[in-house]
Amino acid sequence: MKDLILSKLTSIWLVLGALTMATWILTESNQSGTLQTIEFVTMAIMAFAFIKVRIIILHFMEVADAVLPLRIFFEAWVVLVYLVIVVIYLFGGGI
Amino acid sequence: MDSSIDSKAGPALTVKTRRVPAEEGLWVFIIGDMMIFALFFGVYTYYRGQEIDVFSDSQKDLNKLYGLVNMILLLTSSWFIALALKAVRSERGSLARGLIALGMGCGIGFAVLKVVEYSEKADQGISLITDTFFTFYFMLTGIHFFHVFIGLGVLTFLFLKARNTSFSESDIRTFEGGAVYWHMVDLLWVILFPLLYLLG
Repeated sequence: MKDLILSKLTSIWLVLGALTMATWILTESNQSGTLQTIEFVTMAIMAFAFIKVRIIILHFMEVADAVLPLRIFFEAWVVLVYLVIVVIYLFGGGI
Repeated sequence: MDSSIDSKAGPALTVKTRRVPAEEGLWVFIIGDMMIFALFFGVYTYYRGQEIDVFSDSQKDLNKLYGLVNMILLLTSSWFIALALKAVRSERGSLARGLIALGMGCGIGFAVLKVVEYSEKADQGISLITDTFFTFYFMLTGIHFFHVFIGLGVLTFLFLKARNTSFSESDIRTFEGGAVYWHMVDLLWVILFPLLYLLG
């Protein structure tokens, strides 16, 4: 059991937890910001989320060691979905 | 010429074997599911831009703390399941069973908290037809909740399967498949949580 607890998987879980708490602190500290600050914080919050998603895909779903087409698909998915959300969020009213 | 290179020994070569974890067919399902959710995320963000005041006001009725606790529960559950797969690969079935049970416990915790959250909304008179935000909220979290239920069924199957003391290549692929599915359920919540609860 000790070898499992001390494995890389635990470090990954701790990083994911830390990113979650960072997101929470960022949200709570920006309750009454200006529009620009809110937009910046929102992009940062979504960026943290997609960094977490990439970590889960690569290390928990083991896509880091998978065949290249699978890895390329998921790397592209993470970047494209993040960009789509951010672009629609920033310019959504005018699309 | 670089004298630091030992020409007799030659450079150390590490050949990394790339493979497909789990059954290939499962990835078709995972990719399809993630494409559908990508569409949901885009459509939700678009409608949010169209009715920004409605979405901002209704979002304040959500309990962000529930979303955060559920996030931590699913991340922790994913960690237990990843550890369980490692235990299966090293032929430690009973340890894997314990870890899968812990992972299931976190998943059940998520489901219970979601039911509490839905009940509170019902008590406040909030439903699927309250406004566009809540239509999306119930649809997206409901579809995700359905994935959690399926996932808990998969984990129960893996829990029973981990009774064995040794595992074939095919068994390990089955465990990999269940784990991949459960991690996908986790990562979808990683996006849904900020999108529904935190977007400013």
